Amino acid sequence: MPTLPRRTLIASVLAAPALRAARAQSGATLSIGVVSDPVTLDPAFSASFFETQVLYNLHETLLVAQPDGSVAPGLASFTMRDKLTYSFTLRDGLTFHDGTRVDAEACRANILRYTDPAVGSIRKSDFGPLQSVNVTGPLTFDLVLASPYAPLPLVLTNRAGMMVSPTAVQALGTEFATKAVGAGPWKLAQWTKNAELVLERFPGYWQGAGQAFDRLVYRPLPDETVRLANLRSGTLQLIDSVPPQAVAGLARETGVRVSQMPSLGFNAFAFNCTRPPFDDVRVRQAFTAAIDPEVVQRVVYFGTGQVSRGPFSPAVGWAYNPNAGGMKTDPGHARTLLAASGRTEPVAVAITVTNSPQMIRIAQILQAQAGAAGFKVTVNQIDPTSLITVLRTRDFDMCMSPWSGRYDPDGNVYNYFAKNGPNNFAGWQDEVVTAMLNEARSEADQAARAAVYRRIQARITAEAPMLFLHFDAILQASSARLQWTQYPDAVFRLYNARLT
Amino acid sequence: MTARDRLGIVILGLMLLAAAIGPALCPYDPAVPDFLATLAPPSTAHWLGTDDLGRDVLSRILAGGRVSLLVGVVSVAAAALVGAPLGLVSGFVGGWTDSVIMRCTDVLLAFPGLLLALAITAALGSSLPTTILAIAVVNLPVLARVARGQAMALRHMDYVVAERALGFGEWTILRRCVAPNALSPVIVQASLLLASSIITESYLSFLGLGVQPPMPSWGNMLHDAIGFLDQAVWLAWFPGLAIFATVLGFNLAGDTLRDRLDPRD
Repeated sequence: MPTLPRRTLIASVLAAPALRAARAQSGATLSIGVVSDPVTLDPAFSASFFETQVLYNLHETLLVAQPDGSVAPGLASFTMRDKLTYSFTLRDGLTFHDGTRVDAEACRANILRYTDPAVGSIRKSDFGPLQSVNVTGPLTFDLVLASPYAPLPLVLTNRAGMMVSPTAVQALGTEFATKAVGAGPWKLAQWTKNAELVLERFPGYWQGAGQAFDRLVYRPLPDETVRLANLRSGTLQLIDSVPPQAVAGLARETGVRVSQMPSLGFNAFAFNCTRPPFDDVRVRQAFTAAIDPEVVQRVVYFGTGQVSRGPFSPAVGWAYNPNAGGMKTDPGHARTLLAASGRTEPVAVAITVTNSPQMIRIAQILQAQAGAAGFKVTVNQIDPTSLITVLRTRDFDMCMSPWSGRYDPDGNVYNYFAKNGPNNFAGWQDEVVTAMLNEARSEADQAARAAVYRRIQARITAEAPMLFLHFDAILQASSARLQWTQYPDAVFRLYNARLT
Repeated sequence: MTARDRLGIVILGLMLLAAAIGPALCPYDPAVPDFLATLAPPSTAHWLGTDDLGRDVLSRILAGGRVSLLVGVVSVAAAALVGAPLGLVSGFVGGWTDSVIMRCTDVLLAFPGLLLALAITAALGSSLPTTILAIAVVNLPVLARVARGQAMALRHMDYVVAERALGFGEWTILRRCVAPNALSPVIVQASLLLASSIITESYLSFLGLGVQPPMPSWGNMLHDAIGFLDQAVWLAWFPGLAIFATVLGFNLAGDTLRDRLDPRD
């Protein structure tokens, strides 16, 4: 049997990590475990949070959100000419993945597509009171508003700011959803539904071809245990949504690293305010008083994240009010409220949740606590893909209605509580709060906005159209060798990710 | 009676006894959580530990056993009550009747059993009766096929021909001569299906489409346990052991029954 000289052997062993790192830097693949496969890659129609894990690496936004929530230039920079006019200047020489130019006309076509009722994009409401898009030069354009709309810059860091190739939209038609062409750091290489989605490096990205990974491979793995096992085995280097109960154990392992930070979103349930029994505010208040979110925090989230008393996340410090008490947990008071509503106990209600272990656990806690306060609760489990339909058709008594959150607090409340808000799943028609929401989004001064948001939170607490439970922590895990930046919107932005 | 026969009967007897009187012996209410005692390992207070919501695992296994056995027995009985007569008529009458009934069962058999059960529970909603119905529909064509085969074999037997020669009507012959002689393979098959039905229930509950919380079944206990394999492995062990023992018991009893009812012995 041939033998290696001892010196060669020692040198090879010593050099192995360096060789591995070198290989990782040139032509490496990053395998990512995500919760679900995208339904569409078209930001105009993307409704699922899980799609954003792909979208933010495939597409680029006009402006870019920093981890601290501030806004930086992306494809473009902007200035505010007056309260109603935002002027944008695009970087020169940029192209989409198909080689067509990223210019002012392309951006206008994108924004008109998002806002044209005939297209039916769900991004329309993101643009608020947008009146017109005026191209002022090859690389400059203005967005003109009908009324002040403070959240606009942050909105343009989200899916509404993603610019796609208008040429590809025209050419591909409905196929654009599966063959999207954007201007992000990676372009679509291959997509086998429910198995594997592959992105490959786009050298024309505006920050340069500095991506450490030639390919990003997304594998949809709905089961959290399977995702974790694949990370531990090295098959994946990055995973989304680590189960809270695994955090303490993973922190003791050397090969993996858990990253956590407060998220922008909330975990809450919508009461159906359009039909009995939750059309009666006293019944909503009674249910809210019956529930102790501290128990949910301890039993389901294992101490990660934070108890929620309203829609504003602690990740957005200026809008979050740590002193907002919400309704006190008091089963006795809940029974008094139920009696005042004229209903005889037990009041039958159904809780609708998706069939994830975590949501079923929460539903059972609500079932037990509300059961002790005069409700008779049944749990309806539905498939995750049915959730949005159940919410939109209001086919529920109370239904989970979690929100991934937005950097601007407007994004956490307007769509949920304004009378015609697209996410007003509760069907709560409140003139007072709608007026306050409009006031807040038209106010430019942050302190004044924060004051309005405190009044909004007080009104929401009093009327209880939703049951707020928890601000989840973002729990993601990676190989200990992977350096990457975590964002409070839980989206993987991987341009700067590196293996060490 | 061999040792194997005795083992099957003992396991089955214990399981049925536990299902019958077990819930009365539950040390704790199986559905009531105790949020201050979650994920407690086995101890003198909780012999098999507590689950993620602080419910006593022993109490839930005892209560869940009744649910699992109920699903198994009722779904197989329902499938036998509908499937066996259909199969007998199909095999005995033959012709167009046979073709129509068998093509219907072929449609059901064309789907993998679990997929068919999933489709039914997804369409009708998750509940205990739906779970039983779904498993009964899966079992039905199997029992119909077995009964048909027996009826076809028996309809040309001398004693059937003799009955016909004596002037008895076809329905009388079917009821008096064919059915009693065709039933033993059906009973044996049903005993084996009992075991697979318990497994199917556990699959459905595992996938969130079977028995609904907080009602325990062995399947949904396993479903709950999967997220805690690192932290509380006993949550998976005990319901898994219960399913294993019950299925083993039914299989051994089914083998015994087959040996006893085999006309060649």
